[in-house]
Amino acid sequence: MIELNGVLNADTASKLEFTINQILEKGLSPNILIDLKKLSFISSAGIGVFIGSISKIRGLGGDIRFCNAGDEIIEIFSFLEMENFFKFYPSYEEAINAFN
Amino acid sequence: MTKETQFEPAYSYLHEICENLHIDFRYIEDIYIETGDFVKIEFMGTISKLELIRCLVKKLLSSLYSFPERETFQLCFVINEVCTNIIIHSYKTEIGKIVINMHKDGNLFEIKIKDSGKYGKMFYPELFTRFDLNYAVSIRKTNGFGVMLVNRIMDEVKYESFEGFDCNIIYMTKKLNGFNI
Repeated sequence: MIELNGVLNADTASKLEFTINQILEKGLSPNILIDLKKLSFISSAGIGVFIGSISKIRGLGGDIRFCNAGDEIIEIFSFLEMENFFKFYPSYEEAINAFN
Repeated sequence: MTKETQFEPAYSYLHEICENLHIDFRYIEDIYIETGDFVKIEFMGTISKLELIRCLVKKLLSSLYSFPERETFQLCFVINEVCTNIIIHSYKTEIGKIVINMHKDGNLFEIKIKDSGKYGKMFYPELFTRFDLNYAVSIRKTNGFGVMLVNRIMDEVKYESFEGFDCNIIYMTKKLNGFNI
């Protein structure tokens, strides 16, 4: 599980990308849950990290899923028709149960 | 910046944001704000300053226009995207001035963002009108989504670049629906 805190923009997106790549390179579980409870803002750079890595992750049999996303953030994903492409869960517990 | 304008409410918002983000006040010395019939923000564009600018725009939109959170979030998103692209693609390695103008005209909200980057005229917005999610995923595309999102969020987007003057302007309008003005 990765908990995002603050903003995910052009400045911070590369750190998330590095973290996801590290998870994949170390052969850890390709199921990644992103907790957005403390995320106040996401830019296209942040969305690009998820789009750029999802095919590799799903190719490994895993997925990226989100929990605790604010309505405004989900709406930004919907502008690129991604609200159904990625799974969003209202809570951490529901997301974990869905992965299981 | 005169002593009188230092006490304009917008500057007090800026100082409050600096305190919340733990930013030194010297960092914001180049930021100029005007409010009235329109809102104008001028600043020297760096990626690290954008969060501060976004918070300032958010505060001004909610205090001056009482916009709901949803509209405020989208407008802040658009301004952040445009400024990011200006810094990265129009100015590239230089640090240049960005001027944001915002104006509410009835149920239309207008945003104009101007820069003087010499590479701004090499931007071709028509290359960013089509979006195929499956294709983007298949080639592991990580960038270029900002322009598409701006086009989808705003009702009208127009770009102008003035040859020979290194002046690039983006005009955007949004119809304000669904809430009292």
